[in-house]
Amino acid sequence: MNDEPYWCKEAPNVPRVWSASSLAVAGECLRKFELSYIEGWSAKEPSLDLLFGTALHRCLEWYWKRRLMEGITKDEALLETIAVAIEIGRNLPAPERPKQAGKTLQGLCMALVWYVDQYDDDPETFYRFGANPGTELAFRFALDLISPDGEPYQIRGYLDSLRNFAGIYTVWDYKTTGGSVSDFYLDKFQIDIQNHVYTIAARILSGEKFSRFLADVIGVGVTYVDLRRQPTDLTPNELDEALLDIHAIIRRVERAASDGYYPKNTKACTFCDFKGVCSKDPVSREVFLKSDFNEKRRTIIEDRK
Amino acid sequence: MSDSPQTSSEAPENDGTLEQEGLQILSGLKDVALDPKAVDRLWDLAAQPLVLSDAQRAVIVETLRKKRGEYKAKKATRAAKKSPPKDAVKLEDFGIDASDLGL
Repeated sequence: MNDEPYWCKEAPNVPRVWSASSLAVAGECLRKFELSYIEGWSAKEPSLDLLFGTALHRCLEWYWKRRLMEGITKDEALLETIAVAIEIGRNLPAPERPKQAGKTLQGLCMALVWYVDQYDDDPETFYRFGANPGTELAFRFALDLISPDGEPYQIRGYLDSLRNFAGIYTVWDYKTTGGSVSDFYLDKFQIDIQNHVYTIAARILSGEKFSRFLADVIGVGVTYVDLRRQPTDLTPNELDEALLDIHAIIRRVERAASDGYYPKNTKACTFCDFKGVCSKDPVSREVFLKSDFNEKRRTIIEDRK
Repeated sequence: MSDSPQTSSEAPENDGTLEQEGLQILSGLKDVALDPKAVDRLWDLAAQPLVLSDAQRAVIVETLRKKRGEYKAKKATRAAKKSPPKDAVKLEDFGIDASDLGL
């Protein structure tokens, strides 16, 4: 039972525990942070992109756990995982946009089979904690920054896997997209707060000097799967700077919460879900929010299901 | 009342009619003869709340592997067409010395 509060007691609009996602949103736009976290607005139906990505994560997690922990063969693990993929994949909603056309039951099975065949050598690369492979690892660490409640802020999250890849300790993160994987898409992972947070977490969990973050990108089209990997090397100085960035983001949220005003970053609107809301007159925004979004403010820290 | 009630999430086994529809399933994941109509029917079955047999899932895997093989072959052919011909035009053909251009 975990009823640990999400928000600070003394500052009810400031989270006491952060994630790479909440930090990224707060860093991107304080108004978006207000709408999605403080007020708790989210899309009425979970998007196919999110559901498909989660489904593929689950399948790969299942596959690696079976393959690495119980010593069964690749084909046996794959056949089992296909059963899981079918079970999850048949409940996916229909694609709505051309870019989502491959995100179907067949696409899920295809991505899984092509991935494990392409990266047949990967089992050797998993970092191990004793006998256990480093897959799906929960982490939590404290920042050197005190919250209004008088305790250190914390960061929590999940690592897809930790590897020793070509002699370099590497944090592994699956990314799913629709269609071919472009250089533009890969570039966005070069500077990303998630890279830094996860690499710091890997160092804390393992005691090893993890210095690389790898975005393992799976692009799913109707008739093909595009597999590309984007490594980012991070020096200790870069990780230290990331901690300063994180502190600055949290301080900014504290200030906005104390002022009761969360300014928009209009340079970040292009792909924002709330673009259609923020572009309306402030008086009428709530009507648009209520018609297009569900409102559910989180109150406690929830574990991944 | 039964001690082990059947939950709604338990899916029935399918009756294996695919084999009768001309889908020849051999042992293991290799050498599966794939009738496109039967494969389509297999995907239809997969979309329903049924539990596919190991053999049927093996066919799904093998179908997707074949698709990958075909895609890779097509990609290699495309790449070969794009690469420059071996007898590409040389600077010397125009009486130009590459070293004059700092090359």
